[in-house]
Amino acid sequence: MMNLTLLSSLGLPEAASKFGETVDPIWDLVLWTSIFFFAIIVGTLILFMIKYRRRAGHVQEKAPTHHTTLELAWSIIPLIVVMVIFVLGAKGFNDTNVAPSNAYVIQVDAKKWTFSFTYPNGGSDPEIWVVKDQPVRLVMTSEDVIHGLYIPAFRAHRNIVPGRINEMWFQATQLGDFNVFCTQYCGNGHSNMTTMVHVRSQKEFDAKLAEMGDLFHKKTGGSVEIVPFVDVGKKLYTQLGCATCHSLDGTRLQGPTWKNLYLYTQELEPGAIQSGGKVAGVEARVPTADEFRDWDTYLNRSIANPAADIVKTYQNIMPGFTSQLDGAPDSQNVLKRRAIIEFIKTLSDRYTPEVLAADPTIPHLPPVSGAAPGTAATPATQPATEGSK
Amino acid sequence: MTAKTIDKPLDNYLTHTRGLASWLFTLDHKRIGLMYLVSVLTAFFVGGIFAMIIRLQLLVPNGLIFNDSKAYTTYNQIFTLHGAVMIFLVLIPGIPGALGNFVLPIMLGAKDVAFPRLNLMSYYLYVIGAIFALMSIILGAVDTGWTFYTPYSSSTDTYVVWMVLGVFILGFSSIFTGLNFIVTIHKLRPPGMTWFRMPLFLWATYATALIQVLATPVLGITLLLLVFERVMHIGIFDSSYGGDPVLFQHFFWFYSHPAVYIMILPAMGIMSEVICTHSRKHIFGYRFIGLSSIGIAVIGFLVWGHHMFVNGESPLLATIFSFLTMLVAIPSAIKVWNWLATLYRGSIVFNTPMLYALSFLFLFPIGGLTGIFLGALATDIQLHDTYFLIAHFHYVMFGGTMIGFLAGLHHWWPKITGRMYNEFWGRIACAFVFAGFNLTFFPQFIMGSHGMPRRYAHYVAEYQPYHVASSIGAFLQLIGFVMVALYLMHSLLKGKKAPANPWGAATLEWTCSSPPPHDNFKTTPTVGDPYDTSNIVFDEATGGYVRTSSPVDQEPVAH
Repeated sequence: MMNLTLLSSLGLPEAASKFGETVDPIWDLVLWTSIFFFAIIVGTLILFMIKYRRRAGHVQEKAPTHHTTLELAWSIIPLIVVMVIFVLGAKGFNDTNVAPSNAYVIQVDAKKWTFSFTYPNGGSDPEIWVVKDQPVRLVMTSEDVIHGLYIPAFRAHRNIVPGRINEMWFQATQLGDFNVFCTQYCGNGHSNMTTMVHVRSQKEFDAKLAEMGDLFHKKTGGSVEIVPFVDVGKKLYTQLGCATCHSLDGTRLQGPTWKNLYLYTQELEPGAIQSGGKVAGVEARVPTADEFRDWDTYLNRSIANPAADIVKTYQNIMPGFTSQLDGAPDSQNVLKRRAIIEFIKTLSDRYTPEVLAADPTIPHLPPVSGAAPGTAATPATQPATEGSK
Repeated sequence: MTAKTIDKPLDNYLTHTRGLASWLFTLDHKRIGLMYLVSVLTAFFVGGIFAMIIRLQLLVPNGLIFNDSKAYTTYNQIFTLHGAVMIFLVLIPGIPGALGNFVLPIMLGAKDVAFPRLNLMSYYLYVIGAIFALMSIILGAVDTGWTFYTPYSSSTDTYVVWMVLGVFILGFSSIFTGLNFIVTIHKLRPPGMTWFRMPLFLWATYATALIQVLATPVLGITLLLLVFERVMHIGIFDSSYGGDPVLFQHFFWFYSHPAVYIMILPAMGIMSEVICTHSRKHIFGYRFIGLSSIGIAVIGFLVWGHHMFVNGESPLLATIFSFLTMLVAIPSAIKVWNWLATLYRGSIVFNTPMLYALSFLFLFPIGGLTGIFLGALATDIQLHDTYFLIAHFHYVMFGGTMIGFLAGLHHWWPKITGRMYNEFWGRIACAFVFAGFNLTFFPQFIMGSHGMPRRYAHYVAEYQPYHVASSIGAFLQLIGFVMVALYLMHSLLKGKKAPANPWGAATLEWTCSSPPPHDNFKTTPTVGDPYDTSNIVFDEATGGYVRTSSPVDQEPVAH
């Protein structure tokens, strides 16, 4: 049993990506070259061990102690062989090193001990979802220590080094679910840091992508869970890069801190669209409905059209977020903007439970149309390493 | 038994002086070598226990011993200690410190090494370094892996500083040994022993010593910087303080790749001695073997970048390192061919040292050839940091270095202890070690090429059959090593007295008694060809071999 398994699996596992076409022939060449030379060495060894074993009537005989031609032969022939292997190996590596320009980009964020994959529509998932035959480029960063991302069936492997952006790519050629391992030792949960890559048809992938892009619904098991606006806002705060200029702890960065922004007076630079050149604070009481709406308008406008109102002492440097955060009412984009506003509100100490209870501007989710798609997204069998994540 | 003719027992290095102080403050290279031997074997025992725990753990996919995520840290500490102990306390000091110290000066016909006090200091630095490493075990063992990669090592809360300082001190021990051997080989060769008349073990030790002296300081500096990074956050290796983690890897491997040649070269030296002696043949291709040692030492300095192929290293750099890595295969191949050619028309005796040497000729090529898979860029990507790599370096480091060490240990055991060991049990044990080793590590090539990553406390169920085979192999090795321990102890107590030259070797250490006298030689010995055994014949009376004529009278043999 065991022996059969050993013999039948001397090669690499079946390739499920285009790299197999490059790597596997080189593997076979090196394997058979090695077997050939090993057979010569061990064959000679065994022959000599039998023929020249010490026994009655056999003594050692005179033999040459050097032979320059022989020495050169067994130096130069292996040298040629390893040089051929070097050239093929380096060519294979360099040919497959750079992703084609039409590759689909997925951001990878590695940290102890999970991977997070973020797709172009802003959705993210702990597993990789790709379309068969489409080149995929992974742009990878690590938050803490060095991790590795290795997909044996794809012949794809790269370390994720903190402080650097490393990239890798692959092109899956087979539908299915394949193991992904962290290969760079990263501490206690290193062997838990495994996930799957799911190769799907374009249709199934699109459905999954729409599900992931919907930040307000989370599918767990069979049921759909609603994600609170505040949680989505908090996620977007880092995902969209707000964190670069807006602190949450009162620190002054390039933009105003979000701490105690809501319901605190905002003096604006001349030329502000906001009437009166400021947004008035509301202290120690529940704001009126007009005041609530006033603040809501101001915040919405400041996100979609930041140049409209500039807070005093700050500069007009914030980019617009129209493509991410503006659109038709109740679209994902607008809901996301609302989520950020809800998050900003919670950072103010004037947003007391009483104020919250009276707030008419709290958004509501539109009814889910067609439920969360993703019959395609049948969770694949996780490896036995599924542990405490 | 010749013991009937009770001569007054000859004075030897073991009986020359008595008492604990005579050992602790000894300047005799033989005693220091023996103390090294005991220490290294103890460390091998400790590292072996860690290995057995690893193999037990991996019997089942979820882990047999440490099977919840809290306990994984303990597993991580165990594999770190296995690696650190085996590499820094066994493989690096093993052959030079223990066998080299004992044999090298006698092979040179010298009374001692050039700097006996430095030699003793080197031993004590080894002990102090080992204590530091041990302290880290008691305080809360390191869980970084033996490679101490930043930023994990600069951020984990285990006692990295103790272990790292231990390794730093061990580095000095290694440098002192190397320095001592270089000077000894340059200055203390007897008249007539030109460079190309040195036994090949000396060539190998010399090449090793060059690496020890030139590469180890880089490790020392790197580890000190790591300590500074941990304690003071100077921002050189840890990206969260503005450092670059890959810089650490470059520094680390600038030492640690040449260090694998520190480990394998002396074993190759032993091979040359053992193969000639136990086939009663002159070495084939003396110059090629000797110079290939230097070749390995030089090229070995230039290949470190192949440890970083998947780090996002520039493709040009990766290509250059892959090229240089391929070159280093050639001197190793030259040695293997020459040893095979040495066996031609010989009279091969299957005693224990020779069985280990023949095992080397089987195992080391597997280690070397699988290195080509890892040196070629396209295939390395698939195999990097998997069990394929684990299997590869165990075939080189165990199948090469440890098997070579065992060959040397049995070859020189009669010289060191003055006693013969039980040949029957020696052969049985060698068979267990050989079979067990292959069963342990061959399946790891397969599971590695199928993607099993290294340093996993638990794993995907598809790899279990290979892990089970591997663990069974480890137990076979354990049985083999228990046998070795038992028959060697038996040999110390009840072994047959060893003749001066039990194997018929021509090198100088076999011309003095077993065990050698305190001063090794009364007069500077006459030097001939170290591999010409044509006038060395078996002597029934002593049970050993004797020379029939002075070595200088012989016709020189062309190399």
